Amino acid sequence: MDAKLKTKPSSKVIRPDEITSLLQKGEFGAMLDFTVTDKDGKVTRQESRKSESYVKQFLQILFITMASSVVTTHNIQDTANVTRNPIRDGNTFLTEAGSGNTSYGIMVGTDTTPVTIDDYSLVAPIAHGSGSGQVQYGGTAFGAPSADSTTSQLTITRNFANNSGALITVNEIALYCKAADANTIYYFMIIRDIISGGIDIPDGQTLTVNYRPQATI
Amino acid sequence: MDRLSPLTIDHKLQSRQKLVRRRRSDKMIKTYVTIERRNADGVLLEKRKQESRSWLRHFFDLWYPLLSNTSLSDIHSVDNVSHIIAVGYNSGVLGVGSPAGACDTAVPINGVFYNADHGMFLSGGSFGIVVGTDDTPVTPQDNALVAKVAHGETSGQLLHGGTELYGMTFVDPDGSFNIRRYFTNVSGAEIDIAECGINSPANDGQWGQSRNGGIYCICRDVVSPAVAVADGEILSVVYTVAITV
Repeated sequence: MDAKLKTKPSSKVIRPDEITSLLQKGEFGAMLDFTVTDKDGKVTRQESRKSESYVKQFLQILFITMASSVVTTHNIQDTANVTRNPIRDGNTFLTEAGSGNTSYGIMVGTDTTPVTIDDYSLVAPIAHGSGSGQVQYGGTAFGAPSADSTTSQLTITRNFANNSGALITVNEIALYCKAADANTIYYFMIIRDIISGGIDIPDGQTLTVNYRPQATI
Repeated sequence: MDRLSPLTIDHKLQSRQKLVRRRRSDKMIKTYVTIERRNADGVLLEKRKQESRSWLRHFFDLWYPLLSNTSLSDIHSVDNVSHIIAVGYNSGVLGVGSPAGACDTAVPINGVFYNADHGMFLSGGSFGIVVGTDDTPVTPQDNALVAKVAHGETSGQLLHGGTELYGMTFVDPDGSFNIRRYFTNVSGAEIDIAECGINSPANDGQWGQSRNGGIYCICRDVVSPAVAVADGEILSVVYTVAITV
């Protein structure tokens, strides 16, 4: 027998000083906001949802950070599907990718494969550029931590401009970070989301994505 | 069973100050606190497991420099002193593994313990998992446990073991690891534990002057009812951080 959702839709008033959140009490998670704007800055689509999935590498890198590990054997898969053993250093968790950098920061792709905890990269990342099927990656920006009476958060933001000449549909969004061993910097996916129905970015329009990691009490 | 879809907010409704909850969803990250009380022979006397609800704003204050490579200023430490949180390279932020209470250590800088000119030397009892006696409700802005129990062997004190991280496991769709500390009561009297949490040090990145760093409370939970730890007994507190995809 098919399972049926018994939860009825409900609503509440948002106070102006309240951080928008859909997390449950006591949850550590993230909100995912996306906005599409045309060349005049007019919003053509805007939505917020609860991000679905911190993946395995997030927990592994958090462990390294909290343990201040200088030697690790966690065998963490990087975005190239190669096992690495990064240590805690100044690269750990960095997401501040600059314009055009598609190695880390917020990333977008076109695939719709559901998320699993073992995912290590987007399935079909969109390349940077203005050619067919490409978007132009902006620099990664940040909103400083804040808190209201129940929720704490910070914000990570990136723009993706479509100047490819045709519509592009984003179906998957992820957050990649840096981490390094003693010699080399590698890149790791820590969050991946599938957007049901996709986000259409018509030619000439820009997608803005916010990840807002949050915790509620 | 069908998995539930993520919740969404329709911004057209939000503009009319409506937040629409369409679906129920599992938590992304759950944190549990397991508290055990044993006698001197190690016999289990009491065990509790409760859901931690209380990652504080300071978790994000310490994570932010790591993500953004940008320092934060005016962040208040457990002693309510304003500090800079330096970028990850030389701040050691979010480290919670600690030595035992009587053992001093330096905040790791770039993952390495430097000398006194560069390190921020701390007692092991000042960070890692901490416990206290106050049951004031948690707010995201809490700077510290309200009444932290100090490391020691005299009245009102507990011997603090080291804070260790262990037990990383993954079985799709779940993953978790543990943070654990033992506390031994040799104070001569019962101590009632009504709060627990996690403290993390952070260096302010000022080379040669780095003792200006602070300790920050990143997680706090009220333990209700309080756990009465009699003289001679051992308390263990385990935080389990778990993700579910």
